[in-house]
Amino acid sequence: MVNKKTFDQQRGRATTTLIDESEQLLRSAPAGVLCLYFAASIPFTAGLVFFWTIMVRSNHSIWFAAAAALVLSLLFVWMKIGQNLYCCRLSQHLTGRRDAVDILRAACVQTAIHPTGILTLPICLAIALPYGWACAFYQHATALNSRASDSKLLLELRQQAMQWPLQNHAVTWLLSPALTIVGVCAVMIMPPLMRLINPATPLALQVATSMIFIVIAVLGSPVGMLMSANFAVTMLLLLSQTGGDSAIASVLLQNGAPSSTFAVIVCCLAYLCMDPIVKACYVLRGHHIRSDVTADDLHTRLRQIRAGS
Amino acid sequence: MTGQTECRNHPERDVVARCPRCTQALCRECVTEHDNRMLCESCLRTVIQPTAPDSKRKNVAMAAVAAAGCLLVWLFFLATAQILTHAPAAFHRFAPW
Repeated sequence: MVNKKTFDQQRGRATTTLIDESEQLLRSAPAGVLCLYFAASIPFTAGLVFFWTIMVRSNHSIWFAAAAALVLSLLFVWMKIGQNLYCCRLSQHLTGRRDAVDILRAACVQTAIHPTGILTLPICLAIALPYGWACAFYQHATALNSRASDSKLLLELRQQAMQWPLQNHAVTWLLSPALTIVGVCAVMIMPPLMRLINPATPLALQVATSMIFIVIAVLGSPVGMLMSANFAVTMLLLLSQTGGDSAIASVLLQNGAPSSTFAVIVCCLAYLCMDPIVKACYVLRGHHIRSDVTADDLHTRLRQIRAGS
Repeated sequence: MTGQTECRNHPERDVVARCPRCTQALCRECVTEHDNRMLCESCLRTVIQPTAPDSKRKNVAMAAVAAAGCLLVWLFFLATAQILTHAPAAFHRFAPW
């Protein structure tokens, strides 16, 4: 027991245990908590699909690009604030505390932190190594509760992101929607890019390159790519049932092949399925990390025992 | 509760709690319970008086950073729109071979 506790304190809980606990947390939480997540995230994902479609298909899209980008950026901010509230509700459900959430402050903090992720996360992903820590930093920022003080905010987030790196990287590898999106994009973009660089590329080389990129994408994000493949196959089957000449099919298919809008929808669906669990994982991770100092886990356990007796 | 075993303010006394905000070790006299947490005097003062003299300035600074964040997101999506409108049609069609 002593050895196990030491191992938990040094390395964090096993990744499978953490994911299992997150799922339990989500299942036991009221349905309104998950509804809050989707109320925050669906407008942005739907807006992104609409934005992508009109930018690709409309000849005059450049005229209203600024307005469309403004609406999408506001939806992004709305999503991040909503996801923070979702994490606060999950945290409250976990600890049993009913702290009042200062929405205005949460909005300011989330709007200040998350836009930087748009630039830093792709850079970290390109360098590969710091991505896990950067991803954890932004996930813990979403899972921030209202008690965190302004002066120590970034320091606290940095400490949480650096804690238990093995657990963090395993969760990122298994569940990060960003890796899935990169995988789908790589699989989508590489074949046309290769044909654009050298139009006389032999078919065998094109097939081999596509296969290599699919394998790399699956190894990089196994769960996400499996989920994306499921969504892609389901959508293709539905499209084949509705016939190739419907209005939806004309958006999702180009000359019989899936369009980039199709890939964006697949990515958005995979994101909406995986992200609530990822957020729950980081709420739990933050709770376990803070418990070393605040003993919140003991309070939670005592509350559960009291409720059970 | 490893490490420091003496109170920050009273070195001759044993530690009974650690303040969750400043992580300082404290004796029974130096801590008090607030909202189910054992806090030290200075942290308790911060918690019950959140409107410090410079908090207004901090709020303005935070709002300014948030506005800059909104601008950054808008620029990112504007750049995405430019790339999408100028990308060759081949990029919008997935044909692996």
